[in-house]
Amino acid sequence: MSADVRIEGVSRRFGDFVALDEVSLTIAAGRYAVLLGPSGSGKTTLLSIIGGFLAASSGRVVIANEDVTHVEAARRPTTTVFQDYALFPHMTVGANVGFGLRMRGVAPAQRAQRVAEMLELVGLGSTAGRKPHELSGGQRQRIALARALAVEPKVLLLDEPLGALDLKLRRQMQEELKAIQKRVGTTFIHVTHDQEEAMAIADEIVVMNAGRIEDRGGPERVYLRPASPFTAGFMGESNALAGTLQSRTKGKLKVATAIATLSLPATALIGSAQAGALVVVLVRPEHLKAGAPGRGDVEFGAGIVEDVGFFGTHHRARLRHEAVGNQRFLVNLPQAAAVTVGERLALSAEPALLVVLPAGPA
Amino acid sequence: MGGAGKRLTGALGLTYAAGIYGFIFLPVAILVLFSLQDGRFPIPPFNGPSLKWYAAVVADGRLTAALGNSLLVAFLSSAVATVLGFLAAYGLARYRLPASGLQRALLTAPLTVSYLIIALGLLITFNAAGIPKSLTAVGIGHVVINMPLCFAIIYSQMGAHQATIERAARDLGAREWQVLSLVTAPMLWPAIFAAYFLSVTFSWDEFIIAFLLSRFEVTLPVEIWSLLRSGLNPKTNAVGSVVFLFSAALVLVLEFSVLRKGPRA
Repeated sequence: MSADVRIEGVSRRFGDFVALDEVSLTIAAGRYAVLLGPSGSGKTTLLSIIGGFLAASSGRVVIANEDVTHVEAARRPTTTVFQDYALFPHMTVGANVGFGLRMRGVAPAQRAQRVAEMLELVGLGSTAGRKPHELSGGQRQRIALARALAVEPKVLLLDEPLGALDLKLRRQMQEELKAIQKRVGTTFIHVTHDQEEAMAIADEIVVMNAGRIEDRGGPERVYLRPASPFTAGFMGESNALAGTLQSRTKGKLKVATAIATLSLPATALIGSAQAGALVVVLVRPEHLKAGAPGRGDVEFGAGIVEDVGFFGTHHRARLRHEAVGNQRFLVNLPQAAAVTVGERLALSAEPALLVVLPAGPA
Repeated sequence: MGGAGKRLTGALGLTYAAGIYGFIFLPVAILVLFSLQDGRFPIPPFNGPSLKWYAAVVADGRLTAALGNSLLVAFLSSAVATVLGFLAAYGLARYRLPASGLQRALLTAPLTVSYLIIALGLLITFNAAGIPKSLTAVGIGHVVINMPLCFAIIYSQMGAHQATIERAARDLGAREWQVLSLVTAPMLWPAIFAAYFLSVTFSWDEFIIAFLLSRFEVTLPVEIWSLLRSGLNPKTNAVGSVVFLFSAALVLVLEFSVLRKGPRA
């Protein structure tokens, strides 16, 4: 069972602080959506409003074509997996998972069967008789998931569910969450500030900042062609070159930067900008190549290595442009690259990988 | 110094501890000792142990009736005080109420008012309202003195973590009374238990309110007081020992069930 979720012009103010500013968003049924943003971006506020724990100051929440804006949490077709699990400490695992069914008046025999199914689903079939404090953090998280799914919600809300787990367990739980979502088919809305987590599990990422939606789309789209400089910066690192759009002519952009005037394909431009507008050219560190440029590559001149570190899968170098001293570049170099501080490297990138955005107000 | 000095401090410490505990417990020990007096007067010399004064207590209809009254008042008034204290704590901990700081202060204020003043106030109020002196009136008085205590104990244990757990219960479809009875109260069980038994202990040996608000049916402390008016008697020692042992038993129950709580997550 699953349903689509429609947020229509929802705002939320806390005194003078605007936590959500006229947010509108539709999440299609059966999708795994991730609300991604830094703390204070409004993502948790939005989740609380969808779950019914917080009232919107204005706007509507519609789930499965039903306006639930004024419906209390207990009566909404949503359940929540809380960050700190919020298991009932005095009940057994089985009683925890069966709690929602008990509230719905399901007979004990049916309840026990469903509890067993749910525990099986999260891979903890043998724990029904244990108490939550006897389980590890990862196990408690699964119990919380089983408890929330046991009542067959139309929409499952996850509030930073993996925040308290260590990195290895978090990666493992990400895979499981995605697999479980595919199996049950319920709409999942998951809040996190970890962009790697978001990319690993989401069908759709909704990037939030300062109470607004900055960008939304599939992980690849949001990462490779971010709709705003904020999104680009939040979805991993990127090098930004400020410039002015000189001209837009049949399939070509000319952008004047401090380094050089770059000639880029028109498709690099996201959004709209007229000639003369201030723009930002964005290059991901892994898109920069050091050494002789290939045919048709955009060249950025050369930089001097200031700092280099080994990251396992790659080396990461920080370079200062040799001509424009305040322009710095982060470059991911191959694992086998032998680079030393002070070395001079020519930088280039494939034009198709570059992004040009209208310069934001920030 | 060295060993001799250490021995001296050790001896001093021991004497000090003996003095303190003697000061606290000697009167009770004497009371209990002379309740076992085989003779007519609870004064030295001690004539050897006998349980006859306990038999006399059990045979005394007025004393056993008073004992029953005391138990009734203690258990019922404490139950009411605990429920009211719990609900007040829940309300103040979970909801944004107007002037909540002031409300909290008002709820706990009776802790600082002497029982005599509370008893007088209740006496005057009950008179004006036409409520006769009775065990019920005593019970109400005990709710007044114990509710602030119950509130303070239970409120101190209500944290934000439990609020999330209550939210989870609501999220899963629990109605408010179900949240309270199936989640909040069981989670706070140790605090509620402690509040209840402390409250029973205080009600059990409370005298002034019970004395001023009762007439025909009296509680045990009031009955003991009227016994004392006719002079010292090992029977008063015996009934006093019963009062003490009951309180001691309550404290032991508390100690073993609540204060030594196991690993509760």
